[in-house]
Amino acid sequence: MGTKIDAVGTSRPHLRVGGMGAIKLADEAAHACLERAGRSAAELDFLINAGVYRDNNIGEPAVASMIQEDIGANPDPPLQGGHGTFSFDVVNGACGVLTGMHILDGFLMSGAIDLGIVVTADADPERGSNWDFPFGLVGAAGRVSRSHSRFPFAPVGGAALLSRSEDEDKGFSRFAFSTYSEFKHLLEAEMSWQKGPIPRAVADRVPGLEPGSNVLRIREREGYAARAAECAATSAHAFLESAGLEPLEIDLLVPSPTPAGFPDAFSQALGVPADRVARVDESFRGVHTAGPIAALEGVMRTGQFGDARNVLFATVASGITVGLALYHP
Amino acid sequence: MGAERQRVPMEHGMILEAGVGTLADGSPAIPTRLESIGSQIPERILTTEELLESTRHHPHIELERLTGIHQRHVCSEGEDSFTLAVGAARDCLAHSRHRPEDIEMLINCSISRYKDGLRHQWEPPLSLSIKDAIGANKAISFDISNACAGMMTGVFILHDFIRRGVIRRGMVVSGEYISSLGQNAAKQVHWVLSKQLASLTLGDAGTAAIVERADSDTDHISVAAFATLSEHSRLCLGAPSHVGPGASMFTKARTIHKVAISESPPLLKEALDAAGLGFGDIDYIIPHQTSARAIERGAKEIGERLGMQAKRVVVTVNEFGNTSSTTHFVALRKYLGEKRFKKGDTVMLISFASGLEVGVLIFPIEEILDRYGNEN
Repeated sequence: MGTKIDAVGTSRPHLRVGGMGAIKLADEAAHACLERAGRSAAELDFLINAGVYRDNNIGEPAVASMIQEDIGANPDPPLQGGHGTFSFDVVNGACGVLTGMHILDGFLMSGAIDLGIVVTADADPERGSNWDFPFGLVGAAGRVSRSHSRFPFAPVGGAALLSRSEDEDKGFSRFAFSTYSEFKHLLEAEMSWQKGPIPRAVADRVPGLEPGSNVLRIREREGYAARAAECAATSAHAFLESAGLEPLEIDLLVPSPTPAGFPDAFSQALGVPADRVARVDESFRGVHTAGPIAALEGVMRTGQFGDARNVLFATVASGITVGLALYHP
Repeated sequence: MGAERQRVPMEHGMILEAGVGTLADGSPAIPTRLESIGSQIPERILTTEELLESTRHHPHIELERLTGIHQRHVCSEGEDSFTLAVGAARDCLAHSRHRPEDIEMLINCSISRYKDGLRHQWEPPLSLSIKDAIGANKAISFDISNACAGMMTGVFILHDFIRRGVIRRGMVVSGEYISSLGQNAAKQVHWVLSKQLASLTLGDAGTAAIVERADSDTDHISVAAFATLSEHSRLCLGAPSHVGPGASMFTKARTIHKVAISESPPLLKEALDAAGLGFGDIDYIIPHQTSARAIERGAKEIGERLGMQAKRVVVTVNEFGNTSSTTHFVALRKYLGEKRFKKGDTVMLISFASGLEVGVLIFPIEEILDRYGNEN
């Protein structure tokens, strides 16, 4: 008995004016995933959102609860023994999707749930200001919570639907996560108050404001991709050894598509042939947390995923955090 | 839709795990328990009177009478979410049998992730910095975010990992430096129906809890359960502020309270039934701490819906304010330290958080008392 991936879905902006925020992208990815699996949102027991960069950098509520409402996953109260859904956010950089799968795997294996979904999306936080909150000043808050310059990640949403397999040889067999905090400076994202002018529209509306705004800064420093590949290779060698597998027994490697150069550097360091590496097409260039789902979608479409015996998921994130999972389709 | 896809949804409102029972493969679940609890409360006290004096528009609001909040503790220079979380984790370890290197999973649950003042850290996750600071070098670490239900959600996750035998123990930690929301609200609140009024009730605090494998037939978590009533997800919003450093929060507080009280009783009953208990069997109900009046009124209404009244409803909001994800554990740590519990007491934590999250954790007070100098 293991946890199997029933379907995945991705989404990208299609609105020409204003772009799309992360919440909308996540909604659409979840819809695409559920439709591909032939399941309804009302069947979901559990929803985990793993996106980091969300509309206006919302801290509360969990973005997952808004996605749950948007897609119609039992948003109303189950009055008498009805079917409910539980949702919350995981924040673990580009390893968040795998962390979400790890948590879902647990609740599926415990028997507490039958069906769960990990959704994720990142987009420039300035893009999402249409979230239907009933508060007048929210729009203004959105306009002055800004990104320091060009937002470095591509706006992409992803979703993966997980359920329990009755075949004990199928699905996820193990997960492992490790951190290398000596490299935590190589990718950092923070939001802090920067002094500066106040937009006149806001100053007129709310007099006496402190001049400035909260600004998001994301810094990827040189050497991140190379260090990420080294750390991932170190962790993956130990992981495969504990699983009793040689690198050449991995039929398919699903790595984080980013940082650029990571899939090739990591597969070479691990010793997995290049033709066994799941890659994303150019349209997903710069993807962040949805990366593993985008890579998985491609190999599910070609059949490479279904034909594999041993699939290794390998994600890297700020920290440096390495997430690994072994999966048997 | 093929036969394999046809499925009757499980008929439950709560996603629920009992303390004992079987896993999906039929093997027995391993019981879990709260082994130790820690907190870090800033020394500086800000009274409600002082906070109202700082408001720009001097609204005539009887906040203390409305909420019962006399004061809250707030951070001083050098304190933030990170230092509160680390302080709480160290307090937790000081009352634990375990060493930092024994922790196998560390989950940070704070909404505010401020480090080095009001610098909100999105990446790497704050859990990594906390793990490094306390020396939990072998722990898997990540952050979760579930509004004021964060700590209880973290315990739910650890409970699941431990009961399946994947790990033996883990730590949930949170540091909430949210007094900046009150400072920002003080610039804008005009009257009692302001959507930022709830920000004036907030206080700062850090808490931590170690959850471990239990080796007792009785001293273990009876039930952990959650549901998200997401049709109410947009009743509260916290986001970076446009009027000053930190964040601002906009809340339809009365609506949240109303729907929480009216819609949660069937869910609470489901959790109580799973524990084989009635509402009146619980010795200490610890709800999320928003306002003393709301807590007392809400407990009474829920008691009426469930057919029996609670024995004791814990209120600490008068002293600490609403400390967001940490409120339940601030109360637990205070009661443990003050030796208010006795062995055999049953505690029920109830979470009502933005989302709208309804969470329940029911457990007995047993061995944990010994680690807080209990002589009973």
